[in-house]
Amino acid sequence: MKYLTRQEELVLLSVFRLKDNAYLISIQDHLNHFTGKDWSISSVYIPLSRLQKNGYLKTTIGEVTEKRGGKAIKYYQMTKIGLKALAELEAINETMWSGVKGLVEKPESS
Amino acid sequence: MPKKPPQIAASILRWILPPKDREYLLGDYEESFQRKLEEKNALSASLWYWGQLIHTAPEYLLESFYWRIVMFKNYFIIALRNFYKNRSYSVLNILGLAIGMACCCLFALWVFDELHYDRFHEKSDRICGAVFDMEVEGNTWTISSTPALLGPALEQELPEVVATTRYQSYGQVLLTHGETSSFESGIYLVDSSFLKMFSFPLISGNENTALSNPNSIVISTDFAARYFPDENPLGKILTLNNKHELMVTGILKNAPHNSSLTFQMLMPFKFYEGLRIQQGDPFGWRENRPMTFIEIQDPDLTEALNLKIRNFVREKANDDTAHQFSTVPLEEFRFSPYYGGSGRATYLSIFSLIALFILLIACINFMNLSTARSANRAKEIGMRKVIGANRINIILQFFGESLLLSFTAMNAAIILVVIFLPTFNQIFGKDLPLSILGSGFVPLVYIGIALLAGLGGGSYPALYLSAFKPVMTLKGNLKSRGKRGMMRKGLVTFQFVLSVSLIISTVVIYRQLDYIKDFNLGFDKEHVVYIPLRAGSGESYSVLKNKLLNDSRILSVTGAAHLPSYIGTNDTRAKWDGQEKENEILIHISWVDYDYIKTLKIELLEGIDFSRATPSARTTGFLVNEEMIKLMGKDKGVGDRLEMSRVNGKILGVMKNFHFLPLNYQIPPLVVKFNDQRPSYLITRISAHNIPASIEFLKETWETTIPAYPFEYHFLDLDFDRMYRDEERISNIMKSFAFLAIFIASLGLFGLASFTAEQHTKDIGVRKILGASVPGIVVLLLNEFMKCILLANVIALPIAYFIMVKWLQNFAYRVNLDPGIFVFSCLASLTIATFSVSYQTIKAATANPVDSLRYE
Repeated sequence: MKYLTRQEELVLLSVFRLKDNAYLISIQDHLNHFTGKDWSISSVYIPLSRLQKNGYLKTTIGEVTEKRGGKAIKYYQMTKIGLKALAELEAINETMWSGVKGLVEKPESS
Repeated sequence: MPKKPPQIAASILRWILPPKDREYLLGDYEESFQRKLEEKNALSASLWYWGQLIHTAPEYLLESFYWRIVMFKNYFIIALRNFYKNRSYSVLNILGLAIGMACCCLFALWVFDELHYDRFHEKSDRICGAVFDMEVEGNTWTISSTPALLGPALEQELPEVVATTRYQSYGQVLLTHGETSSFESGIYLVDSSFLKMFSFPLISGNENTALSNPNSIVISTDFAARYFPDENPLGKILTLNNKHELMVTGILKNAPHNSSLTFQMLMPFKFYEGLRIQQGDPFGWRENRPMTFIEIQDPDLTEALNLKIRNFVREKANDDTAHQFSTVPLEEFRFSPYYGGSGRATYLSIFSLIALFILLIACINFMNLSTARSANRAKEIGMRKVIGANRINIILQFFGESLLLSFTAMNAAIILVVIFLPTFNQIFGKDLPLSILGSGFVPLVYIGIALLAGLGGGSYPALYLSAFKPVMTLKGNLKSRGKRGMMRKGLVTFQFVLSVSLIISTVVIYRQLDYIKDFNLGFDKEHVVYIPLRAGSGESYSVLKNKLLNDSRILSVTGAAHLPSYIGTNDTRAKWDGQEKENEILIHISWVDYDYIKTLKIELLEGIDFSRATPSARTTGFLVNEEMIKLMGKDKGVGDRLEMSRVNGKILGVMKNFHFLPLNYQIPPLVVKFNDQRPSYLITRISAHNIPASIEFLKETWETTIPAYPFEYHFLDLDFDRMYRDEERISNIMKSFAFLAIFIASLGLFGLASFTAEQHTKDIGVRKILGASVPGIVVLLLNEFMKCILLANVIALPIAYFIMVKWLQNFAYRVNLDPGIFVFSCLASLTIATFSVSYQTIKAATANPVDSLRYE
């Protein structure tokens, strides 16, 4: 597995969490909501397109709607590789992060 | 009616967004826009949209850059794979291009060098030389010799003239220091301002005072090493012509190779001025000897200065017809007719043009080979187009490939240049240092040539291949094969037109040179040795002659004022009986000792040579040539009166015409008088047996008779070879050009032949099965190329003929352009072409049809 950047990781997780409703705007909203920061369209799109290129994501073309100015919508779904990558990420994160929790709390309590 | 995002921003955004997701992203932006519209008002939504554009543009551009790199990598890999797959073609291409480029580079270096002559002087833009035009008998002569009085007078009387210096060769002189003594040339007389005007720095000595004393000299490091090997030359004495003692006051640093002025030793002009005054023969305004260089304040005012100088000289010389004076800037000396440079520019441009032609031939190879291979690339191009490449992408891809190739070739070319620079220098009599390869704009020249070749050679394939229709290529039927073939044949024909023209020119030049060298000059130049009697050595001529004649190895000895190969002195003043008007034809004149006719084996048509038996004839007799008789009138001959150079005498003998001028000229009338006092040359015919012994004898005799002067001898026939050195050089250059052109063209032909053979694999197989013979198939394949070569010959003949007729006009005696030359070059080109295609053709023709038909 190639290492993912933090943005890519967050975007991949968002797609995973959004299940069937993962398209650019929904992913953006999701990220805005959970990180509390303002993600621009391009800052979502670029990690998305890289993830897609590397095979973590696949796409389906959706419906054309009036509010999108007559343009089609592009949905993103997890691929097997993507899911596997997420699992590996979690495993790595868990081992790497173990023990950190206590460290952060200690100075506050003392 | 829903509101739309701002149109301008939308279209800019459309342009920036990555093409593959453009539509969806635009949709996403619009959705966000609509949402903002609902939440707030139209203005803030529009502002947001614009803000997005400004904010995100760099990110997308960066991203697309990333994709470009990825695509570039793909193109690069495909290009390398293609090179590798078609190794032989690639090598042919690169080799041909590299040779063509190396050729171009060398000439570019040459041009670069020529253009930088004399630029190293700090004041190069402010120095100019005084020159004038002289009209004689309707011909204009361009002359750089000026009155010796001009320089000092200008300096004194014209305020815009900062400084002047005269510059005059002192001819050949004898220099002596202790045991070392030899004749030297490259001795120049200059004014003391010379070292300050020109940037010829001194290693030691003071440039302000070095030449201020009339007996001081400045010498080159060469001279310093030769005459003062183990001591410091400063303050030492060199003796000039065994008479004048000169003190070394400075040593010159070696001048850069690109200096028009070259010298070994500088002497003060004052020294010479003093000698002339001693002899009671001071300078006058009508005598033109030294060059005069002027340093001016403002180079923009030269036009006004020219006028001033013109009037100035007119006034001083007190002569209304005074010649048209003007000035030539130092930086233009190299190509100025006044300094013998008019032909230089012509040859330079002609050779550069031919070098470019050779590059063109190499580029055509490249074009032909890549279009020939296009069928193999067609599927790739079709595929790329289907996936989404547009025509521009394909064009860029092929330009990229040709540039990759041309830059690879350039690297090979630079290696070739480094290897062949010494050879080049030798052939051209140049002195280009290796360091010039990296100096100034030269690296830009390489890049320029590589770009030129890459873009020039790549343009046709790029435009041609990119026009393929994907449907056609993927279905596998490429139409318009005939038209494509025509283009290729046309280019091959063009290559051979150039090559054949070069071959014809080379043959003609070579033949002309041979013709000149073996020309019957009217005298026998074999086994003739001459000894220049320089300075005071002429006084011992008769002693020397008598001593030499005592030996059987010396067949005859004579003395003369000129060598028989060049009698330049001439005069128009001559009188004879029955003359209708004053003579205006230049009559050449020379002075000789007894036995001149005998030594040189000149044929005497009537009369006798100067003879010891009739001493009175010595003072009043003339030997004349046939042309002179023609001039005086057919009925004239031996015994008729002739008055010339203050002698009233009569014709003693008539010589058959001999060539005493280079063969570029017709033989003019010649008159020879007797003089055995202080001749300039001792001319002797030696026995053909054991020449070294004869030379040794000459040397011994010289050294016992005139030990004060070093011995020096020359063979007359070797001298002749040297006379035609320029022509020989041109012949050599043309030979290499013709060879390169035909070689590169043959490389291309070889490549094309293998392609054709490959294309015809199947039909050759079918033909063979149906009973075609091997020779029949070879002829069939050859046919295609031979037509091109024949056509090329037909086109090249008149072109080469026209050019060569022009060139031959430089010679008064020239070979005929007989058809043999043209037949030869035609046959040669056909043979070479056949040779280069035959390998592939025969291979294809002899292949087993089973193998070729099994492909399907």
